[in-house]
Amino acid sequence: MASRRDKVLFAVFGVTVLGLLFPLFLLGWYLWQGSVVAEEQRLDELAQRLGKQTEWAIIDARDLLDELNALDATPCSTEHLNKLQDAAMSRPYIRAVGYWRAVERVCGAGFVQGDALTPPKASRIYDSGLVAWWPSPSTAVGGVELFLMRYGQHDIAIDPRLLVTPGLLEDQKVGLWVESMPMVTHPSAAILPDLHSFEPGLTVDRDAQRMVSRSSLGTIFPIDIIAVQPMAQFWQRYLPTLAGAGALGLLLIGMWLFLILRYFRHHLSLASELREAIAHDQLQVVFQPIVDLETGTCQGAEALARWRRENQETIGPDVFVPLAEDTGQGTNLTLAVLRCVLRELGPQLRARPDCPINLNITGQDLASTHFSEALERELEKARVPARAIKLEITERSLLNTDDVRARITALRARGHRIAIDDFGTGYSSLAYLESFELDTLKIDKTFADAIGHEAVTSNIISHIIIMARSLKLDVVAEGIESRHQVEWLRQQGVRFGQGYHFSRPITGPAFRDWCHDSEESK
Amino acid sequence: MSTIFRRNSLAVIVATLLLTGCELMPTRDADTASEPSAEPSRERAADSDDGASQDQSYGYTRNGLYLARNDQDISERRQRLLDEGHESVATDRVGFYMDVLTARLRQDLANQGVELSREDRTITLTFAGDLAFETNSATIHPDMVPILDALGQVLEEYHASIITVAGHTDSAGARQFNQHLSEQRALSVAQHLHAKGIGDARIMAIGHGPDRPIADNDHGQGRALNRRVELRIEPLTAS
Repeated sequence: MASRRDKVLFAVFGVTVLGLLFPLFLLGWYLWQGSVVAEEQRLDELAQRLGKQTEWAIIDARDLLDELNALDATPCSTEHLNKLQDAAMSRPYIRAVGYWRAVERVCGAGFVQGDALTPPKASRIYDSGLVAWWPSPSTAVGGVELFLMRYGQHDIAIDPRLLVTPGLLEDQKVGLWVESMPMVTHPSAAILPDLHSFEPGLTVDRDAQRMVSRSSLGTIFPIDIIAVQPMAQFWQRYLPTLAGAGALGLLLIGMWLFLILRYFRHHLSLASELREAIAHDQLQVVFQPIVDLETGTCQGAEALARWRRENQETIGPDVFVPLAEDTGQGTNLTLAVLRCVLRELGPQLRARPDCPINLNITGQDLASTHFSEALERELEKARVPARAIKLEITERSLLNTDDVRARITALRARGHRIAIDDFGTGYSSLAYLESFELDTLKIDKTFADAIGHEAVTSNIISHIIIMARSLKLDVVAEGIESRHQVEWLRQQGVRFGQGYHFSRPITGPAFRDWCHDSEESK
Repeated sequence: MSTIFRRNSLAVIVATLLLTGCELMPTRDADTASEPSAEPSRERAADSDDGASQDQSYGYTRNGLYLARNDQDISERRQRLLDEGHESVATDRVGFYMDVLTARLRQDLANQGVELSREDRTITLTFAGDLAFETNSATIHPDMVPILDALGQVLEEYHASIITVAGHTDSAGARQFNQHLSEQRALSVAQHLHAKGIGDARIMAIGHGPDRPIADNDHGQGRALNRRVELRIEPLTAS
């Protein structure tokens, strides 16, 4: 019996641990994923904005070159120079605009001197005739590497640092590539990983404790942006969210634990309290009379256990009977009920053993010799004959083993009669019942309930009655609540009945009186 | 609209020339076999250009243009230009000069049927012989005139450069005729540029005849590619 209890305990413990770990794991995973996705989106949005800015600036510069080349003014006239000046002043990232004849800068606006405007090697010469020099040491002026574009007679020098709005960037290091060639980094001295060393999207580089985001923009010309930020910063950004959600998660887990423990404690304390109650005979017994349907006289009663806890809470048998069985107290419970019956009705049973009291026993009781020995001892002690105690066993707990069969035979030999309880709810066949030595069949309440309502069930009850008759068994109909049911059952040849129609379960003394009254009224 | 029209007309010309080339093939092979009697049209073509005979004298021609005999001749002349103190590009600006010139040529000669290739310090423009000249003649095709005019303008602006115009033919026909035709065609282009203001000191012509094919002479298509004029532009720099 203890092993079953251990199994239950183990299962409950396992469920508790799983119940703890699973939500914890799920929560952690969800939060991490959520944070990474949020970060990926944030960095990608940032990259798209930077990319768009750069793209816009380059297209604007290209359009400006077209506009200047198409200008009608005399080269280097006041009008021309004003135009160049305006173009440079109106765009923050333009450092200089120049008018060239072959390789001589004839005139221009802006502050670029030296060889920076005539670097030795172009990065790109497009078929359209546009020449571009990506930022490099040969385009550097005062430490700033310029991006140069020349088309026709005009050129533009762009400060790439001003393509990136620093306000957008917090502490990230950002690098921007145009046509796969490095255009600008922020901060300007930042060393960034190679463009192709990371997949597009967000990569968590655990070795270097950093997150690397690579986004691409390919609307007009390919622009790639790599943003790098230390993991610490990621944690810092998402810590409030993570902590908040983590606290909520812990709270939920705590509640779960609390519920489990509460249930456990209640269950355990109930079990130990029940053991106490059984050991100290603190259970009550009530009796529900069994009546001869023909004469209305008392033919006995079924003893029903009641348990009222110390705090006056009444626990139903549907709870404490299985609890007693689960905690190995099944037989003790049966014996406690027996003692109670003998205590309350001992004299009557001695005087009228033909009006027996039905004692509910379990499959466990039948499985061991302990019960039958203890039963015999108690009866001897109370000097009550065995035939005054009828043993009720449910159809479902009637195990088809030779041991059980032998024990039933032995109990009958001692004078006990045997009743099958709740008959019709199991699946016993006639042949199965035939293999046991039985005296009475108690038909389950559901069949009485169905009388006059459900034709099929009514049909079954007729079959049961016929079957009982063929096995020479007495039949008791349980749960009779109306006159109509009594009439119907009598017509079917059922002799005995039990139910609220005759009496509710009543105390021992009340039962004695009731029995007496029924005899009187006969 | 005008660009599209031009392109279309060029395509028609190309198609026509290719077809004509195919038809002419057997005739020209036959010509090679019976050389002496098959020359009238070709001689007329060569003579009509500047009257130079087959025993063309190298060096300065009547127009003051320089016809080089061979590659050594060209490098000696380049050296002479430098020695004479012709305006040259500073060594550290050469890259920039050539980059910008390349871009400018691309811009001006875009979609004009002229192939441009760039190798460090050399820009080579290749004109298909069938497009640039009348058949078997050194007369520049009218369609080519505006292109050469535009080229002349750029080269005048980028005057610190020397230009070598090299004529090439396919291997069909008499070798001497081909040599002569290649020289005359080179001179025609040089002459045109000279007329547009390129100083005669910067420009020289050379004829390679069939000696430097760029494609297989066994096919009509290959021969068409070999009939060409190449214009090499190099910076004048003290290197």
